[in-house]
Amino acid sequence: MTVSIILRRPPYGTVDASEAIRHALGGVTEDVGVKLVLVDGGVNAARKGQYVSGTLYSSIEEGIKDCINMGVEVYVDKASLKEEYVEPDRLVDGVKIVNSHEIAEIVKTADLTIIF
Amino acid sequence: MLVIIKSSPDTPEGRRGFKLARDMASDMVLLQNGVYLAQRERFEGFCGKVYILEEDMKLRGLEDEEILRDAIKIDYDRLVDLMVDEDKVVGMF
Repeated sequence: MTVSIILRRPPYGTVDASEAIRHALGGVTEDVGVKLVLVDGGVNAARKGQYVSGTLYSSIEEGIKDCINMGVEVYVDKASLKEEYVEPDRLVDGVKIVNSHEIAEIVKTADLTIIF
Repeated sequence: MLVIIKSSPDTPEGRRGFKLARDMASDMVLLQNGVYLAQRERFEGFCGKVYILEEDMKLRGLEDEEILRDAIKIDYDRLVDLMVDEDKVVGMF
């Protein structure tokens, strides 16, 4: 079974990013194929240099890295990067930059899609 | 006049707060996801002061070279001072 998870919202302002990561990690630990797709403001979740020291937040950056290390395929929408003014070299290592056609294919081939 | 924006620029709330601040020529405080509005490329035709909560900026991995050069980084104590000193505060978008 494969699941695609689409994250649309940026990290920390809402629970969406942390929930998307939680569901992605939950999926891979149950041997589900998980593809996490960051679009719109969600591309900011993959930014390097998120400084959580002194806050009570868990790092979303570390969550994205955990996803990659655990076998989640993490994709970032190229058009959203441009709209959000995020340069590719500002992204954590291991994310794959894709276009809208590739995202459509990911969603089309997934058994289930969850949107955050 | 001070407009406080906590929503990201891709939301109706964020866009509305920014437009209101620009149209009123007020000063603006950006916090939470509103800090993304401080990216240099987004700023056109805004003549008020822009304050950005540094903790929220760092939390989201925004670096100094990405944001408006004239943006004034503040902490929570300074935010409270700004709100107390201002005659009108509109918040939060």
